Amino acid sequence: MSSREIIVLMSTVHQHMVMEDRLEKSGIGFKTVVKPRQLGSDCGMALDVKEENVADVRAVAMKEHLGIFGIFFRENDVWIRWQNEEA
Amino acid sequence: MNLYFDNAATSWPKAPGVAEAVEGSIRECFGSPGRSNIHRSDRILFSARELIAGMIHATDSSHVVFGLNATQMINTGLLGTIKRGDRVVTTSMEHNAVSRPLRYLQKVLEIELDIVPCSPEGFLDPCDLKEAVSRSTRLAVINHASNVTGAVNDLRVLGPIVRDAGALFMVDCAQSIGTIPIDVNVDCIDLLAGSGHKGLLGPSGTGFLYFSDRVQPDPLILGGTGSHSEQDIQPLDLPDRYESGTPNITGLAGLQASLGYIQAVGFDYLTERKNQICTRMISGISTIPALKLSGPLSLENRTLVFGIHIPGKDIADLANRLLWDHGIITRTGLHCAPWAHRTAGTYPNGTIRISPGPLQEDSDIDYLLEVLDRAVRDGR
Repeated sequence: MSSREIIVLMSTVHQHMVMEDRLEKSGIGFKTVVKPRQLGSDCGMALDVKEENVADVRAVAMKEHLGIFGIFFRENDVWIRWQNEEA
Repeated sequence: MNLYFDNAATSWPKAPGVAEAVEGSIRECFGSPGRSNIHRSDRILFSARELIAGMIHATDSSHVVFGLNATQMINTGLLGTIKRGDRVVTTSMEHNAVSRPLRYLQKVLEIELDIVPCSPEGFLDPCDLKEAVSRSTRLAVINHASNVTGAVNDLRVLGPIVRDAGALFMVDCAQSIGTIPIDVNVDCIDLLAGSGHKGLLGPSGTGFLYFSDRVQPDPLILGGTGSHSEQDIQPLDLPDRYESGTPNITGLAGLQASLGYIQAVGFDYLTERKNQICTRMISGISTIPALKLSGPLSLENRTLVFGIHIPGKDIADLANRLLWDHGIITRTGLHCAPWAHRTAGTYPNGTIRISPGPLQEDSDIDYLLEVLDRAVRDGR
């Protein structure tokens, strides 16, 4: 498994808070970080997750009807939308 | 020593843990929700939102938004939903928090206002509501529990009547939330406004509005939300759309603690406590013949609001004797609800409202009743 830096952006701050709560309850590791400026100009937050946990995060989002705005990885200081988001 | 009996205005004592939570929110660094690199305040808001959503059985907690008090939230619901020329149904038991915005809308938006009379106890007859909403109606707004008589209307009967008529159903739950179980789905509620500092036993400066999937009022206040900051227009994200500006995190930290307390002790305990105090109060007042009690005389469909007066006497004299001779704090007058006092037959003098809280000791109630009896006799 690679160790790329992955962040998950939820559609709203509220959904971020719901996701935090559900991930904690599910025992899925994450860290809340400041949203990268490249991805938004507001004061929002992002979930820093391990790549091997992305599928679990998606499953939680689906179960809880939470909207994921996007999943991104960083390459050469640029955040790139993860094309394989259905994985 | 003073004894406080004005919980219908604001509760005291507050729930265990509230003072510590409020103090903690000031002593420790909580930051500002959605605008800070730490987000303890976001968690406070989120937790309080989830607890309220759970209490009223709302499936999506983003449909619960916070404000300063029930009045502000009622204004958001009414002013944000009602449009020019709409027909609105309400009742003769409403608080000024409802009646004044409606009178304002009558003037500026020329709405048609139908005020359905209630019984002197404060109950709305379902048949009267059905008839009122049978004409094309945008919204029906009613008081769940009266702050004047303590009467509790049966939302499980009234809500479906409004829903079946195709109107929106809005409920002022300032006096009932935390005291009477509410289910926004079964009760067909589209808009529910509540306060955090009365039955929920939290700090003042906290109120909330719930709205269903059938309605999204225009917000009253626009501004910074911490989200979509690049846009000049108010974001549609929920709950951000309704929570511009820094919220009362200190108050909401206390509210989160009080909601946690209510969840821990359970509604059944609070209901049982309410019934015990009601029984004590009603039987005690009935032994003082000079006193007239407004509202229902049974435990059913009533809250801990007891409006009393002595026909032909100035209630201020009795209230002053209670306060200055015995340290009993009550609330005298019209209680910001002149419509309700007209309905109850106690306008314009009003009543002495005695409203114990669920955390009040039985010995406090007994002392109150003993003092009341003495004060009435002394005043003859």
